[in-house]
Amino acid sequence: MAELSTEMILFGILTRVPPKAVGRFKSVCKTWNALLSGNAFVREHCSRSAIPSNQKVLVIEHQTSSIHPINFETHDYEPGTSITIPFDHRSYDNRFIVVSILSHLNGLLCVCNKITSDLFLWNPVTTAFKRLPPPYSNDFYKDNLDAVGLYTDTHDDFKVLYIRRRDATLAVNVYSRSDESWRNIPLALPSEYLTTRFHWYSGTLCGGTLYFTVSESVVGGSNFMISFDVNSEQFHMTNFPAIPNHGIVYIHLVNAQDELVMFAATGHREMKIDMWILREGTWLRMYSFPLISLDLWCSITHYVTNGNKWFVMAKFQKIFEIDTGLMWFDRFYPVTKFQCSDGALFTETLVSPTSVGLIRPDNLDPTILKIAYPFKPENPWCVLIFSFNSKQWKHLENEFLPRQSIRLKKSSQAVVDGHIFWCAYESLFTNDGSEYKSYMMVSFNLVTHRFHVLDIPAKLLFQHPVQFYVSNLRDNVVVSGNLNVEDHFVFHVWILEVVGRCIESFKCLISIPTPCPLKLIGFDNTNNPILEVQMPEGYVMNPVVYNVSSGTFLYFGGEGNCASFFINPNCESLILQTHEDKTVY
Amino acid sequence: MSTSSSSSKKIVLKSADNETFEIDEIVALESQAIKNMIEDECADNVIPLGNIDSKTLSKIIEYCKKHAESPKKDDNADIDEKAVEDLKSFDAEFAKVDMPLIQDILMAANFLNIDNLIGLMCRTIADRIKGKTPEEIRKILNINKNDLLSPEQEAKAREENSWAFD
Repeated sequence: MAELSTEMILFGILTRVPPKAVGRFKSVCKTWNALLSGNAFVREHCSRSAIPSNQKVLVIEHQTSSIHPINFETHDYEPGTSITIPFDHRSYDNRFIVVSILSHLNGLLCVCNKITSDLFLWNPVTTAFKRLPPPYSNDFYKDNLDAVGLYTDTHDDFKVLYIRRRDATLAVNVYSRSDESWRNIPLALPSEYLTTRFHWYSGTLCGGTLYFTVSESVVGGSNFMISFDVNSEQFHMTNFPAIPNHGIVYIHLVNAQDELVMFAATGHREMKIDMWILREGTWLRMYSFPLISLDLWCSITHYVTNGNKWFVMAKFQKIFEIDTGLMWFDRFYPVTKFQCSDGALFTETLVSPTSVGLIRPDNLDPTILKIAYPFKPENPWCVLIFSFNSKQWKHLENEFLPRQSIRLKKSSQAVVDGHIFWCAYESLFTNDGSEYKSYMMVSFNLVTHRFHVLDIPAKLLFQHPVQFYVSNLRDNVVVSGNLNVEDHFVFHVWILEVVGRCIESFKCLISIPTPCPLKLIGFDNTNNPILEVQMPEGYVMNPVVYNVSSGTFLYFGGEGNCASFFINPNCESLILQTHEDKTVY
Repeated sequence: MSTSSSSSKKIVLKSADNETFEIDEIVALESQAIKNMIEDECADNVIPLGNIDSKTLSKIIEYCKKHAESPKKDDNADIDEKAVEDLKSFDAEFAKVDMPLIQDILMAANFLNIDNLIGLMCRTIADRIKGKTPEEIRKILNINKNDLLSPEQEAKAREENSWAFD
């Protein structure tokens, strides 16, 4: 018998097994281990994930959260398994869960912490999550003011559209998963719709457009709809059906097989639910549900369809079931956001909330980055990128370079999480003409090929030596250096938390008083630093391990010249730097 | 060996073990590869399939016959619900064969370019392996022994994917 090709096994068969099985199968062999984490596989797997057996209901209650399978035949939600939300999700007294699900797409949930106002992208299957860097320095997501919409662009980049209402203005920003940063988008609409008077609900993605329902208030007031074309990034006013605007008005959108469906509940003591469908720009009323009491209506959590039938659900119970007499769909189509108790009907996938492509040394295309500073300082850098897969040198366009007055310290660099980090400085002049150096960090994203300048928080800059080294402790960036204190030095190692383009927090890991400066060359497997120490007799250096708990040095021999010790994992990226100006002199 | 009503055009397929199968052209057209051959007029009356044995080929013909008879989805919007259900249960019965034969059918379907059958066989294999341990998978899919992870790498892979082992 001949053998199935790797491609057939991977893309034909393994894209059809559930996400958890893929996770287990990463230990089958080296080829599977590398390829099952790759972009191409995750994307293909996601596109095949939209089947009933991968559809789950997540329910978040006051104190617990659980995931429930759905039986496609009987439409029942089965008993769930409780899960732990992996990020900050509890009230200060630790009693209640304070997160709510705003939207979901391709297995990623967009979740907001109502107390800290942070936004997270979270995959409940792989437990991976990403806290989005706040686009503004003050508060972030306010549940009663702001709105989000999720979509993917043509380059398979995952985007979060964030609509912010503050101080009588609306601001729109879009987050890119691959850039890990926000970009402002102009919102050109008639001015009367740009005020904070209107509340926007989470967007529903349908056929390349995000639809937002916008309401003046839940009781009375006008309602309208705004659509966002994800390709052109333009906002438009969209038709809205004639819905009575007295009493309570509550609107839910559902994307059912690329058709936009709206449930509009209106009324006062008794609620009337109408189901509308948008066809060729016109809303058609398809069904009206029998009148129900306000109490019963208040317990509705969501609407869902399998094509043949529409279900109005209250937590796990059907309130209504409407037979449309149409063909069954191949899966359920849920509303974007649950009402009342928090939850979502989502699809289990392997999609990652962090930068596209898990950067692992064993599947990263080895990359050489060559940075040449110009002979004349006013000219730009010349940055060339070589990838071993493409076997070509590619020139990075000038517009993507950082400030050209910046200089990188090539002796001080580390590769962490798909980024190269350097210590960097800029020569500046004071008013009296004397020159001084301003220090910062620079990173280079090995996937998107973009430089970012990371300012060192003032608090850290104040405490740590200006001459510092950048290295890594496993997946964390660390900086180290010697502070001169009267007649001796104190050697410090700081561990940084880098989120997006910011140094979010920092922590002093080690401080060692020492008669001579020390240099960090790595860490052993118990996180004790390995240091380069100058011998008392002169220029010879020794590598030593510093035992943090006992405060002792362990010498293990092996003399060498200054800066001649290196400790590196066996696979890293390779960086060349040349100083053309130096070669001329 | 297939015989059916006379008038329609016949195609003869010849397996690796030299068995011949006479089928209606409409059945053969389920294979995109054969369809291309016929359209390019590079097919004689007999199409030799040197890499497909007669056991596999007869299964594939059984599948193509059933699917050629069924109304196509794009024929009209109102698909007969019963026909869809009928085809579903046929597919489910069809896939109840042992793993080596499924793999042979998949490879043959891939060679003959029969999209639905490739999908059916992939789904069947996926369903059968999804609950298996990595050790069992290595045996079922005959994974190359030289490609195995070292114990340290395997421990690391398990740790990184601990969410998948509960």
